[in-house]
Amino acid sequence: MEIIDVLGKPCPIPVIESKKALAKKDTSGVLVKVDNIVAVQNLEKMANGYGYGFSYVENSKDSYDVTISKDEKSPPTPNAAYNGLPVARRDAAHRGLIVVISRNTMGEGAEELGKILIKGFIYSLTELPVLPECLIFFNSGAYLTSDGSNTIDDLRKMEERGVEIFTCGTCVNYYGLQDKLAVGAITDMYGITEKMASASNIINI
Amino acid sequence: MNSLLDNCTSGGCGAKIGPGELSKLLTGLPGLVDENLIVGYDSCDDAGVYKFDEKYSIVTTADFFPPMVDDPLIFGRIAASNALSDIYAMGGKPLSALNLVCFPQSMDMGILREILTGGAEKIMEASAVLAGGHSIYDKEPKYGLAVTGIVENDKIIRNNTPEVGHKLILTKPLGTGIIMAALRGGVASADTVKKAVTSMERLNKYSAEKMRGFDIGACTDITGFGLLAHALEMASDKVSIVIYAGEIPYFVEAYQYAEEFLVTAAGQRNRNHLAGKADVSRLPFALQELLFDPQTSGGLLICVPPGQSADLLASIQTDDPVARVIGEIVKRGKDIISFV
Repeated sequence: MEIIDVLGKPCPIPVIESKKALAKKDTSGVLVKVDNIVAVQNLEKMANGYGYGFSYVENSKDSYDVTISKDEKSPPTPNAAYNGLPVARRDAAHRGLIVVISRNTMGEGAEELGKILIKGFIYSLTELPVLPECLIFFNSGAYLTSDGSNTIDDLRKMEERGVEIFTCGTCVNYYGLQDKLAVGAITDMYGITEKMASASNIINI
Repeated sequence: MNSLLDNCTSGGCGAKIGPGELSKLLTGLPGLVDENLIVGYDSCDDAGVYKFDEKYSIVTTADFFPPMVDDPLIFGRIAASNALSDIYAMGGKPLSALNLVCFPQSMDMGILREILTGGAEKIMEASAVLAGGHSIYDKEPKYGLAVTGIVENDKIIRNNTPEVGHKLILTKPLGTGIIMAALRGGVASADTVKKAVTSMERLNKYSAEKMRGFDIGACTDITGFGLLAHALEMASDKVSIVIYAGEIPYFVEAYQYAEEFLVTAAGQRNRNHLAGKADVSRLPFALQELLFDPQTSGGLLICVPPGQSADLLASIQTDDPVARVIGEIVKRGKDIISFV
């Protein structure tokens, strides 16, 4: 096991040095020497995020030995102060999950709030550990895939990662958005119905 | 020995003593009670306010820290902008400033001259004057200002007086702490650093000027404690805050660095401080880190009545286009800070 002595080095140097060592093919793990508990916690976030094993020993108030192992998860350290979620590893788009968005707001109530919520919802989709297979937009949902929508960047991010994005052509014409489609492709009711019928899971907004 | 950063273990506002430790230190200090001290350190506000006469109060603040960039001129500008910011956050206008300088005896004095030049530029931009200062030899360089400003008694804006229903505006993007940490680790791109530097050098003067004419409920500037700790201070023991997670302005590169775990010690200290007070567990990890990220010379967090928020935002955006409405004040509930 490679020993990384980063005593006296500020964050994020311990994380950077550990990642460099762990990136080597023949390294199964590292022993990182740091001088403060906060550096231990930052290493823990990294280890959790990559699904590595993590443990540490406190030698004294300014000396900690952190062990990070690549192959197996060590038992979690008691009293670990980390209170966040591990970062999910991203796989290809999830087969069978289809998200249908039929409006440009979310939920009943104030329109301003509804718009904030729908933007937050689409953003949250980009952060799912496994992305949906396909997003379908119809009725006023068509505004979300058109120029001027504040969710275009999030939708493009998903499209780049293999999520299919379709907007109802009839709806685009009805709202006069013909030249404004900014992401994904146009589909018709046959396309929408076919997708929905083949879905194993549908989220309906 | 002639590089600014080589001499430092932690830079910018990230070097601040953590908020939890600080309040412990300050509790129970001996002192006089003076009714003219309108805002003291008990409310964790941005600056002290002392009533001078029936019309005006004096606003005083001091801020200094070790460099977070290698260019001394830029460091001087950032440190001065950061120090001046506290006056703006109180609704005040800076009048005069004193240089606060720590500098290694073995270092080239030309570097110090550059730092002071950067600071002087910002003092001038703030329409204030340099009145003097104090300089000592020290192992690590540090620079900042003590600033005196003035505010009309009825225009003082505190950090902990928001009203239920008010909207929250944030005027600068988050992520400067993470970008500077990535720079220190040798992994930040030059373009990204430039963007962060431009933001840190920018005076909060322009956003602060826009607040005039609006019924501002509260205001603070975002510094080393990160957005959430400042939001927590704003909520104090009276209200709760809902943050629109999808509306937070941030540097895209900082988000990417956070996904790579290039985060700071101060950010983790802020996370520890907020444990049990803001449940971030449902947010993406990188966004969590941005919310805890220590900002050097960060933006203003402004609390404004809902009917005025669109107009104030539009006005701020003419000079600071990344400003956003990022949340609202709600009745005190179980969670002090929550997210939608």
